[in-house]
Amino acid sequence: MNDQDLERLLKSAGRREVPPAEVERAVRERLHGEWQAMLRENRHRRSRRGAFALAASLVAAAFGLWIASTQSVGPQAAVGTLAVAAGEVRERSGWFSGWRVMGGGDVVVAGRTLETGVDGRAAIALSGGMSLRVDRDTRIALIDPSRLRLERGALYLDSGSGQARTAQLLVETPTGSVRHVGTQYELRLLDAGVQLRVREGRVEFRSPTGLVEHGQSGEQLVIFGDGRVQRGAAPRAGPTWDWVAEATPDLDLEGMSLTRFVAWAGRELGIAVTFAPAISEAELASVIVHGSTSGLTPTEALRAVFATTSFEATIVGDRIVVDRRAPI
Amino acid sequence: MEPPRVQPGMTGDQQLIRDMLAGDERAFEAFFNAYFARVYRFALPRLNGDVEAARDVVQTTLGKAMRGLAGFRGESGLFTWICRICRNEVVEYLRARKRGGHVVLMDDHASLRAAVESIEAPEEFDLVKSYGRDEATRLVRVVLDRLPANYGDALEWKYFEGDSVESIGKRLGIGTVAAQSLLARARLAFREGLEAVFGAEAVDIASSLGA
Repeated sequence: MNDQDLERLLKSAGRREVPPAEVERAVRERLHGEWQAMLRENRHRRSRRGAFALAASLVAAAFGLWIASTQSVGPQAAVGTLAVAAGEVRERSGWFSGWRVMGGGDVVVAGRTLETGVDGRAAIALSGGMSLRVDRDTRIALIDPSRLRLERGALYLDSGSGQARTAQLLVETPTGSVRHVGTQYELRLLDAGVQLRVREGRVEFRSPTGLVEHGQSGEQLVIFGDGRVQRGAAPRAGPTWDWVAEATPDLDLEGMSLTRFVAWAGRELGIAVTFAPAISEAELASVIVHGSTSGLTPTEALRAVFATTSFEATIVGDRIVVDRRAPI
Repeated sequence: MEPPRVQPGMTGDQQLIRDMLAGDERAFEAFFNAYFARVYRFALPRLNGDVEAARDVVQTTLGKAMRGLAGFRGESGLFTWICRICRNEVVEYLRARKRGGHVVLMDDHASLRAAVESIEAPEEFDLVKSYGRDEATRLVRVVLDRLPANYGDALEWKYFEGDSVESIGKRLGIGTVAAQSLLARARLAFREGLEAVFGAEAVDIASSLGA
């Protein structure tokens, strides 16, 4: 096609519509305001992080010698890595040492106590592929890499799927201890005992007096200090699990298939993934996604990632339904 | 105003995102100028030509896109990604106002959409043929909008307004040689886009439209 053909074709099609000037002006002004607000928010977040880091440094400097003098000398085992630190998350190494503010990426060490503030949430990537989520206003003592004590609040443990299930973690409470058998569960301290909600798999509760109870997927157990046990149903998904979703660690999507991504989202949300009849899993597996779910809950990530593909994922009750995107 | 420079190893989109997030006013202007009109033209026919609705939807779409820029490393181009956000916003807008019967455009059909989107992210597509004249001319304009930023503008300036290469260079804030090169790439991309959408040689498309 030569230059003249191109010109004739373009003129035949006509010029593209130009948006009204007042619409352009209005959108530009509002968008510019939003952009400025976004930049201010980002700067504020950065300076807050800087302030936390400075505070942590000062605390470390001021108490350094004192802490060192109160601690036993020698290497301490790493329990895992802090994958999410939202709001206030801190640790201390003994009763006589000060609290240290923690940030994402910090190594979590055995022998320390980790605490979240009233606005805090944390996720710890434990060895063996397990993921521990810590609710707000919670305190846990990290005894060793396979044992911790819940002293206040609530935690959630995802022992991982597939081969990662071999790792073990014993969680102690004043009422008894909990051991998972390949599972996702929430353990919450109550005034008179503990509440255990099992999302997947099975957990074993064992009290100091020899009481042994098992909880199954979809079951809730309230175990009182006097040995009474109340059993009930616990939905595997829904608002009561929102705090877990909010503490979900970022997922690196780079090079991941859409199948793996949607399976991750389903597991994080505690719901099954189904495919519309016209969709094959293999077709979905051929779609490779990029980026990260940084800052997104699994539900938000589901929307954001699928928006870049020709498929859509809709949460319908207790399922994620994957279908081809319908034309508008 | 001189456009932001692209660093080696980064695409124009990546550089634009980085500069916007760093608070560069020129990057904001470049983002707005590159996408506002194209997204508006994308939204308007899907909202039955309702200008007020298009203004709201485009505002929301660009706002969401802006806030999501930090995490954008999608498999498609930036404009394709923004169009997908816009599609969702159109649906949300109509749903919120309980307006049924939104417009189904030819380029919303999966096979044609794949071809249109392939202009930014080349891939296999099915051939789509035989449109009416009005739809065909509209699709020609869609192809112009789907070209990388500035290509459509440069072609319109050249062939509708009769701008010289020097003048186009000035409007884009680049030199004459760069403008000449950009025009050559724009012609090629436009021709390839047409052929991808219509499944025919550009010359035949021009002939069938009576051009």
